[in-house]
Amino acid sequence: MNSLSAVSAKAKTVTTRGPGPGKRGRGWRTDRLGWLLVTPAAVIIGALVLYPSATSLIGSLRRYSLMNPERPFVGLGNYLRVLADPTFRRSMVTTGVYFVVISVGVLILGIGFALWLQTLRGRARALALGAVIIPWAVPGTVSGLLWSFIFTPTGAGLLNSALSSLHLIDASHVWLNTPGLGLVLIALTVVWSGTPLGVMIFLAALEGIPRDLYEQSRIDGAGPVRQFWSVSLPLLRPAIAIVLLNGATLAIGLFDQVYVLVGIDPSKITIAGSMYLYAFRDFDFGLGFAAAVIAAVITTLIAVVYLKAVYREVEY
Amino acid sequence: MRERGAARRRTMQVVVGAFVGTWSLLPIYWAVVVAVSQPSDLTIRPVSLVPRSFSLENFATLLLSSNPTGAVYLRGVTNSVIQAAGTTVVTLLIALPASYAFARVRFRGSTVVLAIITATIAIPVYLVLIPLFQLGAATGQLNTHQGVILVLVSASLPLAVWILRSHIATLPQDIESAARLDGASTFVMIRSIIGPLIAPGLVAAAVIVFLAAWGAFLIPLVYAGTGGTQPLTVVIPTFATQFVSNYGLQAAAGLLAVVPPLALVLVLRRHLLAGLTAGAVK
Repeated sequence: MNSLSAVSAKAKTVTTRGPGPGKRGRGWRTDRLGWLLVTPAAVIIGALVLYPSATSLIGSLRRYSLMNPERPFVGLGNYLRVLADPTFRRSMVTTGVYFVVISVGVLILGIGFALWLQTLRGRARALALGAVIIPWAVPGTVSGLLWSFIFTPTGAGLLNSALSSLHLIDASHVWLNTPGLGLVLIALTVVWSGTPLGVMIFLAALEGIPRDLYEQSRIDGAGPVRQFWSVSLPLLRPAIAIVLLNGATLAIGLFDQVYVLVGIDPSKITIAGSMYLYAFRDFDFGLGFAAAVIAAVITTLIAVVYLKAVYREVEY
Repeated sequence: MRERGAARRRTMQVVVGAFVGTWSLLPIYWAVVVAVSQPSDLTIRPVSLVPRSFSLENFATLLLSSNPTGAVYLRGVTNSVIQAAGTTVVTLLIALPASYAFARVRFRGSTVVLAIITATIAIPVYLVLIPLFQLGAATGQLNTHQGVILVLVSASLPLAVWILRSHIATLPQDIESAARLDGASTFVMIRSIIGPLIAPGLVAAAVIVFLAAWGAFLIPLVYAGTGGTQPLTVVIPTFATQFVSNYGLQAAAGLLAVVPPLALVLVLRRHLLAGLTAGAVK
């Protein structure tokens, strides 16, 4: 019903507002009104998003140095230097680990929690929804801090003290410095922060699936599990694409949790983190620009793949 | 057989519920335990999830401006409130008229401008960070509230426009036609008719922008990293290094910083979901 009214509203807009022939004066006034309303937003986005993006692209082709105020054009020189830097290469591998854990985690917990919420009704559901979305309100730095009290090897660390209370370990482990596992644990704290948005996207998508599709498949003899795979999952494709894309963005841009949990440790930072090191520790803006552009290009490529391969407009 | 299915379903509900509750709440709950306990009590084994001692001293330290730590923390609170609230208000004031124009006014160029603005949702902070830092340094906006707010606004605007526009697009056209016959100007109409009608969308957009601004770290770290305009997200990590073994104080500092956004989300969660879904579906 809602989509119907939206369609009719659109049709009306076309008939009453189209700048038809012989209404040139009115068309000009419409243009003026439209631009008047849009200009503040357009100016801010132009000056503080589009212009800086262009600056980054162009700046990545120049050499910046504190000694030399001239910024000679070096072509792809910065990119070659960045890609040859072992620290940067390491940050790409690290980002890959974060990417896998965060994508899988947000996807599974997002769908799982949303399905669980759907089985609840009334007060129980309101309460459960409240519990699920709480991590969303926690800033990234604070979530890093909260999880540090779980992973820390000192007395306050819950993971060590729980495992040693159960006599599963003898001595405290420095979990975040364990090769491999440390990265997975850091990624889990990001899954914690990113899950609420995933749940909300999946919950909205699940609520939008018409009931009679389930009725029909039940008449055909499908159980709940079968229904999930053959009815829900195909219709959740757009939601899955959006949640995966969000996961990729979280992983590649990850900075806050790492900064608090382990500091700017070259073995734990993402590509965005190495941008920060180049630009604000070494003050080599050229390398920083190149690292940022590489991260942005990778994100864009992943987005294109997801939108082509996973996203499908669904018709009920 | 149906009864057994129902019982199994109920068990599943409870098991999953226990996992969800633990996952979402344990990190926050454990920080509360750390914040109120004597440090020595935390080393006793077996570990206890119920605090062995209870003291609000750490919270008091942070909230009393009479001691230096409290003064620094409270200034962080003030800065966070100014920057997050300022960002929210400015973003909505700019986004609402623009959203109305994109949804209703068929001006030349609207499709292109809307497409560009929507596409900038995908531009990550780290791509624009260095130029914004240079811009801020050149114009003297570093370490000022308005500098931080302006940058945070630019980061939130695209999403706010997208949410509000989809809400306005679902309103029936007749309402404005009637208002126009009454001779209401566009600005009056946006404020007194469109605004109230898309209240759920406004609430959703406001909360999303506020949460993003309150939690922002990289932007204020670069833009307000030194001087007196550091928000809590920048102050708290400095506490973690300055009071490296004082976990109680760190935990209290983190917990207090969560109170405002948490209150907002919990109070407004129903509007939030309604506002988000309406925006996402249409």
